[in-house]
Amino acid sequence: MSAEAPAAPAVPTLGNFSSLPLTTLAGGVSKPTPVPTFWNTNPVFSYVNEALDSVAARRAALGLSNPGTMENLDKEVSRDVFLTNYFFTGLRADLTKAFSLNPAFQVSHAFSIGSENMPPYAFAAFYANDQLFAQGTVDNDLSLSGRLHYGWSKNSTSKMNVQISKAQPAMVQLEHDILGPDFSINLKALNPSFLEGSFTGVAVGSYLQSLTSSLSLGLETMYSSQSPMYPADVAVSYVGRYDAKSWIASAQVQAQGVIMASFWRKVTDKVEAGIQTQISAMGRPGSAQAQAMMMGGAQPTPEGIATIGAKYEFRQSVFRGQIDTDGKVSCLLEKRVLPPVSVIFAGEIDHSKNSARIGLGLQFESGGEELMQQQQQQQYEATGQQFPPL
Amino acid sequence: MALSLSEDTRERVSKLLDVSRVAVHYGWIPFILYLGWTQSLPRPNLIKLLSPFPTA
Repeated sequence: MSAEAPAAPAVPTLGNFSSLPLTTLAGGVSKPTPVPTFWNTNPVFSYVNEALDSVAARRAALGLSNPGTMENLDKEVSRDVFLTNYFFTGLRADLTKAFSLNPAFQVSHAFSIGSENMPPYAFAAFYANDQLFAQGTVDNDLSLSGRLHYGWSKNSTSKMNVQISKAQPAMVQLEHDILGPDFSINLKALNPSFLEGSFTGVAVGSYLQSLTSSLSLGLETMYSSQSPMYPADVAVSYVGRYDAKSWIASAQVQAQGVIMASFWRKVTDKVEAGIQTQISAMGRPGSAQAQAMMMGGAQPTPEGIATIGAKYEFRQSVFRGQIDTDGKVSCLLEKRVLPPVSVIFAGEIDHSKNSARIGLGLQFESGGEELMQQQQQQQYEATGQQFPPL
Repeated sequence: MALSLSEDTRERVSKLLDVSRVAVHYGWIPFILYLGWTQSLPRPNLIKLLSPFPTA
């Protein structure tokens, strides 16, 4: 397979690229034929190339689009609609300062009191340009979590996650994402090491393929070996996703006997709703029963949980509410009080345990608006246009 | 995937990993701050960069 097609001779230089009328080029550009060399004229390679080209042409003729990544399989439900990822308890204040928009650069200070899992103080810095994304958070115990993404091209991104703290062993995760025209490949390694004579750590590979314009299927394999003394674990899970634009259904069958299904629907352009069901043959991980089973006791019984939630987006606020079959009702309201200040309220009532949790947060952002104005002005000056009347 | 490393190499590699872990631990945030500070167009002064209070 030839990697990158050489640039067409018609394109003058890369420097003038932005000044080219790109909109007129779209769709009209045909792939330039490669210069004939030994590598594509000898009979063996030309045969292989022709075969590959015809397969590629067949695939292109199907008009499939990229299925998205495995990570985002049920993103619409579990990350957009549900508030589980945003929930917090206690009091919290975030002060964010933006210094630049392109490249994006901002720092933030987060203070928190009475929270179960948030540190009293954390400092975060974030930098992103077209290729690079770097982010780091350090808290008052000096534990660091860092993230680095580097885009080699539009379709190929390497990612690195690091977590280092004084009390726990360090964690490194290396990841590479390949987004093809109708498939996605993701390769992941968690704490990979060859120091003990053979591979230790966790390696995950996943492949997701579009079959029709809305249906995509995929599978994920995991190989994990904690120490060369013990046999390694291998697990395969299967996933599927059906995206009909106004609604999305996805399902996962994991090797440990967990079945997950979710359904997302856009009710109006301001309201989204989602439902997710999880059935586990081994009991819920982390539950008292699962722990007893680990000790070699109780027989596993299947357990399930279903959650239904909705998200309302208003002009100045976002409201998320959800209820699950354990009798947990929770809501989260984010409201922008002034342009730089927003207030977050989080509440949860657990009816089965008869307990409640509550969280209140303030978010201050500074610099954003001035920067936007500044940048606009710069842009207008650069293009020689008049600054628009406000 | 058997890979036999001599005791020496193994020690050297794990020392290298230890050093790089410390370097990342204390250098990552300063690295991002430096990157952002040099790349943002009006360079913010350092007090503005590190203080949590909004400065106009």
